[in-house]
Amino acid sequence: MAEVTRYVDPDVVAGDGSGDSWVNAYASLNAWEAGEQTNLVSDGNTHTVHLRASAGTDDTTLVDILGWTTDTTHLITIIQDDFPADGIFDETKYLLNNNDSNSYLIKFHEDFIHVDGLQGLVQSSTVERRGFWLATGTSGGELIFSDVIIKGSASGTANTYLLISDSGWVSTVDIYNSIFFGLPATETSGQRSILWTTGTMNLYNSTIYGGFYGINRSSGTVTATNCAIGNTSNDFNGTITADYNASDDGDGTNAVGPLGGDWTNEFNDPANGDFSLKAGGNCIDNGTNSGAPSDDIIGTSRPQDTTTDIGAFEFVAASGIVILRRRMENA
Amino acid sequence: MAEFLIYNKAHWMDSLTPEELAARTVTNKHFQDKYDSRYQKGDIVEVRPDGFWTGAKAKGHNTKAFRVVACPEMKYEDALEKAKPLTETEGTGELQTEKIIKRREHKITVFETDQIKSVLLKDLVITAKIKPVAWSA
Repeated sequence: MAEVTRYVDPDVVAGDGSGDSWVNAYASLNAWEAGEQTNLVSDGNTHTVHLRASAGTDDTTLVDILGWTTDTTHLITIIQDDFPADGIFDETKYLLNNNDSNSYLIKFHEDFIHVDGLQGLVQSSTVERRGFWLATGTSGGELIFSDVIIKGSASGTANTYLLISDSGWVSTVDIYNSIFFGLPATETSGQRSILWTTGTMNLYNSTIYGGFYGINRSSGTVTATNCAIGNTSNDFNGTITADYNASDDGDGTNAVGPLGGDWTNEFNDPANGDFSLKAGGNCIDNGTNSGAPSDDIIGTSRPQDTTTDIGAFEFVAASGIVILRRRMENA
Repeated sequence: MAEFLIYNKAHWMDSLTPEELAARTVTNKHFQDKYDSRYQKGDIVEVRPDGFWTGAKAKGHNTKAFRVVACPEMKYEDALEKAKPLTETEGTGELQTEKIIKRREHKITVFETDQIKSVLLKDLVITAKIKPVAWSA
């Protein structure tokens, strides 16, 4: 089996646009998707696309992943090579931005896609906008999202969802070390970090901060483990299997709340998208090792002590040794 | 002041025989929809402002997959409307789904001999695909 590797850089100049190197990178994720659609199974290939913005230009294209054939071994991997090394949302890096003109960032119609690091910005005002949209077309397979940061920026009251499964989606998504944040907590009940209407979502070690609802499950199956969910009007809405989470309401089993009822005791600078853990907070050492990823959003090994922390970041004591994953090896 | 990135290759699904298509639809009930919605030659994949693919700092456009048509007379904002999928929504509110009927609602007649072609607005042929209408007795 061969691995096909392609590159996307909105700041590429010249090159032939074939996507076969950074020099020849596609200028958008949308152009990559259109240019590369294939039957990976009959080709006998996997397909990996690397993303970066070498001069900080946003990718403002609307992306549908539709028209491929994939399976468990012939899958698509999307990797942001310039993903923020500190795990803090950074508009100078590659950013998929709907600019409040596109209805969504990426609509997933295919199974067996792994997003391994990606920043998105969902801007809304008067028209409904969506971030990652799990849509009709799948057939019961699996998606994996790890190290994803999606920020919401709502200047009006339009419905806004950073992650949504629509009622035609029938597959499973496993989400690790991801951050969904930025929506106001009280503006409107139509602004939700995650809206789940069908299919299965297993959410591990992720941080949700903001939105009228953090996770709103109306149907389908949702489990949340080792997640920090705060600054919402209602962190969990609907029937959700919640275990070892930190939330304002203390929903689920083995739950904790933010220290002193204040999330600034848990995160270093949540108002500015820094959800790394603060010493002494309740998120530290209060998760479970069962099902937890082996590292965090910036590659810190989990657990640092004996027990995994809650949220997208693993806390490192000042004298701790950190082993970081190399993201820039293809840069 | 717009440039169009035009899909200009055979899609891999184009070569499926009716038997192969039927077999795939058995294992994936959505495959017929995927087949029907696939990119077709002439589809407007992307729209960009003047110079994106033709200017001094032009970007490459993968000549194996695309062609570029530049129309300096066309407003960018008007052109953007031509690069959207043709969709059909079902249901309402939270349960609403959106099916893509065609990857792109509009296509442009490409010029077979030119990778990049600049045209006058009067010579730009943009065709809208017609949404299928359900038959009823």
